[in-house]
Amino acid sequence: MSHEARPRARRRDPERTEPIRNMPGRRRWNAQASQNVPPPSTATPSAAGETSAETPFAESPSAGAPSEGAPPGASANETQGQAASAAGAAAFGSVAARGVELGYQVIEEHIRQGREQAARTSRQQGSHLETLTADLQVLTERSLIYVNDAMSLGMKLLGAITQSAPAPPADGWDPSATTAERMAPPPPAMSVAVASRRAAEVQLDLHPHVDQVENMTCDGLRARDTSRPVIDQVRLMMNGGAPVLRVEVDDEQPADLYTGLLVDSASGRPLGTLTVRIYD
Amino acid sequence: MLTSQLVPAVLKEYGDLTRHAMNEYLPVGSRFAETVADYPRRGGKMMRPSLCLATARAFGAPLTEAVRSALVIELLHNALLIHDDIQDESEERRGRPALHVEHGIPLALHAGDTLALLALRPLIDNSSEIGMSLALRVLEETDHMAAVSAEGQAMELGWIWDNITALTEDAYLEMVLKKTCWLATIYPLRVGALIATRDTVDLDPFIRFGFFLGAAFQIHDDVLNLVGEHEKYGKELNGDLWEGKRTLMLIKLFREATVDERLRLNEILAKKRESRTADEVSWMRERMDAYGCIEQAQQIARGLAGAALHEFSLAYGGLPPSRDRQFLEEIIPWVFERRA
Repeated sequence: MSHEARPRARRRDPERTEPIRNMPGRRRWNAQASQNVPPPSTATPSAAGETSAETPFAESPSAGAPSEGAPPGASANETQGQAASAAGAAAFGSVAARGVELGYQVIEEHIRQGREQAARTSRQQGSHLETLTADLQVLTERSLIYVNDAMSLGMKLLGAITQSAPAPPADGWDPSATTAERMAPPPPAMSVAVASRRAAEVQLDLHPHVDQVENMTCDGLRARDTSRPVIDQVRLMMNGGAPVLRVEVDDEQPADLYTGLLVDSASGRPLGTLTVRIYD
Repeated sequence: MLTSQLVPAVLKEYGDLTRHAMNEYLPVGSRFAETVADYPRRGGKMMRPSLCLATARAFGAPLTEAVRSALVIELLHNALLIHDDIQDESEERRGRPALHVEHGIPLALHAGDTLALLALRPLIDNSSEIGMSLALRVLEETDHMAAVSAEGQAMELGWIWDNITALTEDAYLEMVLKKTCWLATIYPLRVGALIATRDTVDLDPFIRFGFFLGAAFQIHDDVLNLVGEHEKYGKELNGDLWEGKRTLMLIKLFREATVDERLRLNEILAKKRESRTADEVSWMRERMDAYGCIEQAQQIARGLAGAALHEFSLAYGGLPPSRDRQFLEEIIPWVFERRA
């Protein structure tokens, strides 16, 4: 990519006195690569029965000892056998099988390098993720403190009821919505009721395109600190035909942030998340 | 005679769908906009987006989830074609003068850059259809494909620039893997599977299948450049020889040639394209015939197609029979049926 910016290192042309037919040293045979190469009979139906120890694409390999680049496991007898039957050595099968073999070497090496790169990238991203998680935690805490300050701290019971979606504009047309959002069915009108002796804040996030919630279940709300008890009293109720997600918080429930996945019990499909913050 | 009726039908159906979706992202209303939209509107096989859509459908996804990614592939493909044609000094594309021949290199370069940048919008819009997380994964795949493709293109250009002639078949296959296969086959297959399975399937089998399919495709393309019918092929015949492209045929010719022939080959390939003569190109072509270079390349391509069939069975074998699965299988022999 940078060959225009600086002089390119030029490879000296090899000195040759005759055609190179067996290309010694050009091939990259190694045990690992060979193990990765499936037998031609499985890799190429058209090449079935052919051996893979051919001199690469040479039309008249010299008979006798295996060529310098022959793969491990190719005995002299085998190679002699090939030479004997190589009257049509350039026959379709041998050339094709050799091409497939080279192809497998190239692709397996490429995949191996890709996996190494992915492992390196993954390790680097791990440290980035830790930083990101810490940042998010700080931001969340600050947001909650802000909200907390704005609330009446003397409340003994807070029933937080939140509409899951803002009311649509009067004319039903939201110019900021994307085409997909306009075409999506309207989200179900749903509310959340939290019964708690202490101040609580609730957030309901439904996935886009969720249009039915009658089978919604929640397997409890959990804090990051796994020693905290799970808030398992979460159930869907109908109030005059409107779905209400009711959350009951035990009096002894420690203050923390609790989150749970909302799932459609019929299909197992995730529908969204429910988050409840309990204050001291 | 074409043996597959299904492949052309699916290519047309998914090609039309992709073109329709792509039109929403192509600029209109100015002369430059027409230049940008020129290559995409010239047609083409639409194999790349079709591979993506068919894989997504074979794994059970609706077309709507994959169509934006499919059109991204086509936009990027056309962007790279413009740059390729400039770098290779190609004269024709899809039966008409290459873009830089019609509009000059500066404008053509700009149109290519614009097409590549236009691919960003559908990648962003993907999030409204498949969610932010999956859209990001598609973006990651795009980033990886772009890096590998750029490396492959640099390999080939470097060989020509430095007049490297001591090449081997595995070096050629590595270059094709990077330059051709990632964008043409591997990336479309992986993105289709990724979207449909919500990134839960192992994507390595699609690298193998895509590589063998794409390599067979590229070698056949190289052969068509020498033996195709000009009207159907859509590019100048023997163009690769004029450009000094390192193909399997040229690699074999170098290996089989006598010392004197090799010296002459070196001399010819060291020249710039405009300095090569028709006689020199005809001589290279004739020597290729004499040494059976084209036949050997065809045999290798068919061997790779056999491996593609094997890898297809590993990547898609567990899926129930479907039209899309059948298309993906039949496209392997179709590679050799096409004339353009």
